[in-house]
Amino acid sequence: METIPDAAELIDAAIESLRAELLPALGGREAFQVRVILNVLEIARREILQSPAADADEFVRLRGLLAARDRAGDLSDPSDPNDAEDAVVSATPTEAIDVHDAIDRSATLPTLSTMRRTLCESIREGRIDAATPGLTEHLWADVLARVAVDQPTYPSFLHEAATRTRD
Amino acid sequence: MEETRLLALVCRAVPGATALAALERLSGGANNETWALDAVAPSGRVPLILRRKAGDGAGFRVPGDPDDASVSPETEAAVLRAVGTTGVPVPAIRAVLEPSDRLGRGFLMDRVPGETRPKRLLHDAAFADSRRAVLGDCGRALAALHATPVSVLPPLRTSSAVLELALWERRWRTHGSDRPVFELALRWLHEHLPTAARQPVPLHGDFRTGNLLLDRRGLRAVLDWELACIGDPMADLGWFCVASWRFGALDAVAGGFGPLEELLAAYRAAGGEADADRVRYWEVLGTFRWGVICLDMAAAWRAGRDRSVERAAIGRRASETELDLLRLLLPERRALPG
Repeated sequence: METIPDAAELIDAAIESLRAELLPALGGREAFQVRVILNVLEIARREILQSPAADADEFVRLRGLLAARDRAGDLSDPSDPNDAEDAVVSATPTEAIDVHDAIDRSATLPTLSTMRRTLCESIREGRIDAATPGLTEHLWADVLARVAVDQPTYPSFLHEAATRTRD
Repeated sequence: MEETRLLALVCRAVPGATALAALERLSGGANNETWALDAVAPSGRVPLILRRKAGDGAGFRVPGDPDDASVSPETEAAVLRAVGTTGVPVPAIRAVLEPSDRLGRGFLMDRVPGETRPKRLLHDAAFADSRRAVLGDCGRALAALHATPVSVLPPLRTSSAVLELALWERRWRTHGSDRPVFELALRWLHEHLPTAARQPVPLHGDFRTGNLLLDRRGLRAVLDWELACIGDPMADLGWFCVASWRFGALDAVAGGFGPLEELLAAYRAAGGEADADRVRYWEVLGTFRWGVICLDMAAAWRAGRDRSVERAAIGRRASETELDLLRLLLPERRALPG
């Protein structure tokens, strides 16, 4: 959908107005309430702007991680990158594809939630654990990307972000 | 607030009181209302706090939720009275609300002067001396609490690592979302389950920065005993260490105030038996627990039980616990690509 202003810009407009016009006029409970509202608007804005790239990165990492797991189990031809996806889909044939995902997002993304679920099941059943190559890197990248949207001022996040920049 | 009824309560609770003044609502939590007020008596003013259940008392939970571990206000008041005699700093209970008071359910207690707001306590220069003293105070308070005979307390539920893990895992499963870090944490928690506590003891249940009242010299009162129970003493110490309660003082593991070793040393010096590995287990379980509580609150918003924007927003704090679980279980210092 091509629209102007886009959703992130509309949220910007709301944030600017709340911050410049409403907040200075309020005190106590109402000012606190507006700060909470600003916080959720900022989360939504960051999600709109950051989640397409984060989802694409997650997709690539999950495909690699699950392909490696399947290779370890001799389930597929390691030379075929499409096998990982096929294996995931065939492993959970009854998995409902999220229609909203399928319509609104790019054609590659409906399997993202399926792969995420497969990873969770694999960890739960002990088929993937901390020793699995790529898992640690995937979890760190996944969590840092989500906290970057949800709460980029969280102290643990600031600490980890600074550590990675230094490296 | 029904001031005539409140005055009758104050007159019953404070001998000689003739009026009440400075009534002010301090917070409107989902579960409890907290009011500050003064009883006016010929001998002077007596600063008080009224805590009472808000609404139906179920807060963000479904009324009657069997997973709700909170005790009744009557039980909470009885716990405060009991532990107050054993060296744990708590406000004195002045009166417990009765149906004839027509003020709902709750209790009236002394208002201890001091500060509870975590950011002030952890970062203001005015509390520098207090910060140096507080871990010693907390170690002694917890040792005194954990040494309190169960027999002097009202009946409380018994908890354990096995029960807590089952409870929070079950609650997590009701949300039906996929979070691989939680799955990894659950594997770790199952694989590292500690043996049952040798002697289950009285626990505060929510011992953390935010529920501690400090003055310029140190700990003055431990507040909010709603989650009191019987269980592994290390549970209280581990929950205190959960990173979400460090409020920016990230490296000060013990509540944002300082090193865990300092808390353990004070706890041992006061006769407590401390086990750092068990504390760590409870810290991991506590971090997971806080993540599930965040999701519970967001679920309450979705279900329409509590439509406040705060409840919706807090769901987004679950990811902070995933980050802290990774820091605990998979510390990794390599730079990530991108």
